[in-house]
Amino acid sequence: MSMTVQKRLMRELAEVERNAAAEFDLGSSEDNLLVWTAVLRPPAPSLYQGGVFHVSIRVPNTYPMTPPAVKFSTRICHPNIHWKSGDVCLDILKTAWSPAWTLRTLCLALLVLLDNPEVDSPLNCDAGNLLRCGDKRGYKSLVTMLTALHATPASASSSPN
Amino acid sequence: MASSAYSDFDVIAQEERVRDEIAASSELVSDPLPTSVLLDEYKENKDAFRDKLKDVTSKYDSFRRVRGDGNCFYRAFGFALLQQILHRGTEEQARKLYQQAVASKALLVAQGYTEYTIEDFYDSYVEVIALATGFPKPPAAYDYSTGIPVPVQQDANSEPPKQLPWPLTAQERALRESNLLAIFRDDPVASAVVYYLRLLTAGHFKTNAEFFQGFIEDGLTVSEFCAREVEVMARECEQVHIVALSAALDVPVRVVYTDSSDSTSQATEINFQEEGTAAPTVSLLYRPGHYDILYAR
Repeated sequence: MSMTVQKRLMRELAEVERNAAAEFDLGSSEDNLLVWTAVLRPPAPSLYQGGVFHVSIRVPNTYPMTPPAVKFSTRICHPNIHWKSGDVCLDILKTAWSPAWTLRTLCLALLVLLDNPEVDSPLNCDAGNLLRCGDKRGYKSLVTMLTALHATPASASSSPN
Repeated sequence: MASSAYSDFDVIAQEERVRDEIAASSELVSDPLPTSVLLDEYKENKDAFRDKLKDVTSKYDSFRRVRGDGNCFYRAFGFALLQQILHRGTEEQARKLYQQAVASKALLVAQGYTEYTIEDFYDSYVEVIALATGFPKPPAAYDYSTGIPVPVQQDANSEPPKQLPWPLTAQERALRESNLLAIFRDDPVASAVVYYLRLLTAGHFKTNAEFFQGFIEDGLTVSEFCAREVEVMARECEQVHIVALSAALDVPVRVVYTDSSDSTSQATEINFQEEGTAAPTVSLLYRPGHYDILYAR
């Protein structure tokens, strides 16, 4: 790991520990600073409220010049998140990444994405199609049901891969 | 729609391979080359573009190629600026550039940037400025082993402690220039310097938002424009970015434009920030979509 990445991630870690957020936990793996996990708890009035979503984050050696790679490891029903792989389609994870952002900013962006799906770039066509044809009620009940099934502490743990 | 056969992790690995291949095939900043190389490169062209290049070779005898990765303007500007300071700058200009570099982080933080996210880029920028000007690098504001801020006395207006032996001897100039070139060719420091120049550009846009709003299209606010077009690596720049960066650092920039429009056989020169006082003029060659560094005869 390069010194630049290490310095930067140490500071991000210190910042996260000093300044915890209610909507998510974020931390690095004990033995590898390049592997992080976020646990998102979307607050009301999110469609996903009550759900607890684990997200694995891998930081490239060129970070923060290039964005981290992100995967949901809890199943989630969302137009821009792949149902099976957990891959996320979000511009800031690709070409619009700014090196002045952090893994913490990223978690906030993921929470914003949950309730602001971009239906024109779907990774989950079924969810995307419901929204595209204006079936908000159907979409809402599908999300609520699948969140209860796969992402609540009571649900049997079901994760992609 | 993305295929599920490849994950983001695979894509990132692939992108890293592509980046490495590009890195292996072209330097971030090349050695100086005679401008006649450009005429050879376009010897098939019989149009106004070649006439303009001829015009360029009559006024500028050499140039340096800068990698065409979307950051070429900032990279060309940064290296050419420090080289101008070394070769033609006065002690006063060197001090001004150094002092504004040291003061710049506080200005960016006042613009809303989070200090610890811009700290590394600032450190790299101040490091190259210190290297070129000979002023000492201020101590880091963080203990890197713990990530905890340590209090540092930083007063941008205080006199730098070391007096310069200025003008520099030819030997000292050559030494500093070769060190600068090594840094500008070495990632991640080179990228960090480029990114800090982007932040300084964005900071100037935001400080003068009222003025720049008129130049921004698509109904974006100045902040949105910066987030989309300035603060992202590899996003190409337009003239308004040059206006902002040359004004931010008070550095005069001359861009020599070459293209194939046949209204004139002469390359058009545009001077940005003609009254700049922080450095001698930085000259850049523009070919459509790309900037390189030019040296006058």
